[in-house]
Amino acid sequence: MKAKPLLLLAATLLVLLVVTFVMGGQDKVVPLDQQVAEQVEPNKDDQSDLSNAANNENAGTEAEAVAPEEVLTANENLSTNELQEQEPAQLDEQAQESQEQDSSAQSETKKDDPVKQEANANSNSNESKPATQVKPTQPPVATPKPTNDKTDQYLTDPVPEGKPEPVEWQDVKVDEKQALKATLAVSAATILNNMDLFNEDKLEVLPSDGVIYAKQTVTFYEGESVFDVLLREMKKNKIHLEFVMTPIYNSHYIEGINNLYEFDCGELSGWMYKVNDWFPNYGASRYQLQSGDEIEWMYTCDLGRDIGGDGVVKGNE
Amino acid sequence: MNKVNSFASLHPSILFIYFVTVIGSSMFFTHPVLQSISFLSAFVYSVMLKGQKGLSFNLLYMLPLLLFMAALNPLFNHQGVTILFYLDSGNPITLESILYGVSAAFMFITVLLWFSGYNAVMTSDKFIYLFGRVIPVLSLIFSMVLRFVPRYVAKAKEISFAQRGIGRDISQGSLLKKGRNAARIMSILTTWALENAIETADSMKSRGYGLPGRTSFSIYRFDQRDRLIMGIMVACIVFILIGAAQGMSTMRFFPSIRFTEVSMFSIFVYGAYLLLCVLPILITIQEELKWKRIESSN
Repeated sequence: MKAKPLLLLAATLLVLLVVTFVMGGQDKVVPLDQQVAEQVEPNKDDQSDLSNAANNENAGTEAEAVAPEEVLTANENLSTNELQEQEPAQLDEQAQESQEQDSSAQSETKKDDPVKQEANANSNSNESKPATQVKPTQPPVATPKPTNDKTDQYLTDPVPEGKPEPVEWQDVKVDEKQALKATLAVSAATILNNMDLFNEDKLEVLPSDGVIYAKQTVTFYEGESVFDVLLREMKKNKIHLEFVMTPIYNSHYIEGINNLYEFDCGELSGWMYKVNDWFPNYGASRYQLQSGDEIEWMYTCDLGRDIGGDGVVKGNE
Repeated sequence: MNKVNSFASLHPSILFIYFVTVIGSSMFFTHPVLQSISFLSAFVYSVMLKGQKGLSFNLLYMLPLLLFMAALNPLFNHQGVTILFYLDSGNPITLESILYGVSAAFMFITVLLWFSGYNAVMTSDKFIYLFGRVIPVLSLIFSMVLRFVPRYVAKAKEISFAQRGIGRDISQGSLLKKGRNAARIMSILTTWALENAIETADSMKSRGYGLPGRTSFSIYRFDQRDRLIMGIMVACIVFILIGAAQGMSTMRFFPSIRFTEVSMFSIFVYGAYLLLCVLPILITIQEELKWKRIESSN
């Protein structure tokens, strides 16, 4: 019968819909003030909701983790997979533990060199079987510096030592009386080295030297973010700028400057920013400026690797 | 044959090719000249087909739809070099995105209008005549599906009239009563639909649907006039395709608006497209003039 494959297709679609509904719903449920709740890391798809004993959809290979043992082996697999895929620099195994709610996920976060990591994963599988129960009693295993190893509620990795912590722009009161100075530059010079990837419709908006906004001193007010300054200066100089607010990272994402958009120079292209030669690992709306900061907006054609900002993509070394 | 709609008296294959071509080209051609040609002829033809009712329908529903769709785009799309003003959020409104919205809205309306013409001209018997042998099941389902909504609306109206005669229409009684009457009409309609489905199946079976060696009757002939019109159409389509291959049919919106310059050849392409789009109108007018002449000579 023809009806059978159709039915199958409909059933698969339905299951997919339900799964996406459940998984998608969890992103929004993450309570802002409750760090213990389940957390997701932006770069890695290893979010696992064990309490649901449900489909570990993102992990791909291990779709359904019903029995606790299976979950643990799944976690192990995951970490070894990551080992193969990623630079040995760092690995985060996601998992938090919460004792107050049975709805919250449990897990542990680790950050170690690969060898230790594997060992941890192994020991983990031996020790923490009870932790897969709905109400875990065991504290997180192998978290030497818990405060340092977590992502914050907007999925930001720990900021390296000596670098400014992200500040939520909603909490900031801009003091218009305190005018301060910083420098701003916007450049798309990397496109010139990647002309074969470049969208030729956009040739007319690409300056011959790639510089959209030459480095100059700009005024900002106490408490303003990198994004605020960019928006004001682009408006003032009648340079096109499009952005979109991304609630999950609580920051504005710059889609295009001067009609040079993300993906215009290959699928790894887009806008990045650095302040005082450091590419922050959080959004521009959360970087609060200090007097004398040097802001640079740069177009990348290769996820930041061509402009020295690959640390942000890989995670902090 | 209805003398107002003499285009429909052409051979089904011509009609089908015609509508596939105009609908397809309306979907893909963004050049303003080609787009306005297609829109205007689709509009005029739909009014010709449906008269006053078609005109008021177009103005009442199509116009708001057009405005809505045109206004929607610049709210979400901020590309373009010509910044007109800024939204409160800080994103710019650009001329290019507005024009893109207008163009997309016109394209949408044009395709809808052509489809309304298709529905009036390509009746299901013609469709089955064309595809009954190649894809028998699909063409039957297709024609039944297309008939589904109009048929149910007509039946619902019939039931509603009958119920009004005994004071039980949706327009009669208190609010609660109205609701109950509506539910009753719905129930009658559903009962009829189920029964009708069985009857249809029985009827098809008793007439030998699906049996081998069955022939079907059709009154369509590919005559001299069809050949002439087919020739004109194919010539036009070839011209348009050559033009499209040279990039004359599209325009670029972002980051700045650009389309190919008007040249001698592009004027020919526009002419061919114009001829193709007004073909049904021309045939209808010509037939009407002929009819008048015969009438007055008697």
